[in-house]
Amino acid sequence: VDQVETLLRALEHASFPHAVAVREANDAELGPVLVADAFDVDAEEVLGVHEHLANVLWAHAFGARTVLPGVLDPSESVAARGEMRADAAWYRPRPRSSGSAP
Amino acid sequence: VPLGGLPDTALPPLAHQTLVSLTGPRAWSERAAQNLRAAMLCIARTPPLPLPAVSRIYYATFQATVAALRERGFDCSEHHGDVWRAAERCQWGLGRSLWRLYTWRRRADYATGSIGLERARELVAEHATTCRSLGITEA
Repeated sequence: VDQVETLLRALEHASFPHAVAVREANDAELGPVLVADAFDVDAEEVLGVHEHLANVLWAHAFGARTVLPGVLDPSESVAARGEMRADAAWYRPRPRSSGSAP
Repeated sequence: VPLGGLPDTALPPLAHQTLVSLTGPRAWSERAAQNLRAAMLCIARTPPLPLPAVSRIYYATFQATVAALRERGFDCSEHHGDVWRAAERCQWGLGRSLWRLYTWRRRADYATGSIGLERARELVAEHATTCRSLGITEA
């Protein structure tokens, strides 16, 4: 299974609460990597969400490419969306149901 | 010739102990201690230097981890990813913590994003605690 698909499945399985874009990048020291950035994270929650994202992705972080987890606050998210490559893969959390259980 | 325009008398002599520790059995822990001290100085000074502080605290934690791994008999290279994975086998959560900190260091050193002063303070405080838990104290 493709490493990107594995990452998206892990996020889905964990019901990760933020949208995450997975894209190829080149790290100055590691070489080709996959960057997984969580979007629209409130500034005061950044470190906690980063830890959560890292816990979800750790088991899949060292496949064909090393994965680097990142977190973007709302203003960074706006800028990143504008620059995001078309071939980025997206995980989007399912909207919470507002209905009551039958 | 004076270095960087400084008079020769402004350069402190290197202590014999420092020269020994550059390559001796304490090589990694000595570097960790110096980088931990550098991170604390960068974040505490006025005005603070948050970007070098984040870079230094990454290396302090990285070197403290290598020192701990070698002391406990773990065989690993000095490549970042190898150290993260070995660290996680040595102490649950340590490798992940270092892995996350690397992404902040990318922001600091390679301009892949911004780091505010408060975030830098939080990162230095959290990982200084990690260094101390691995037996490293500021040089």
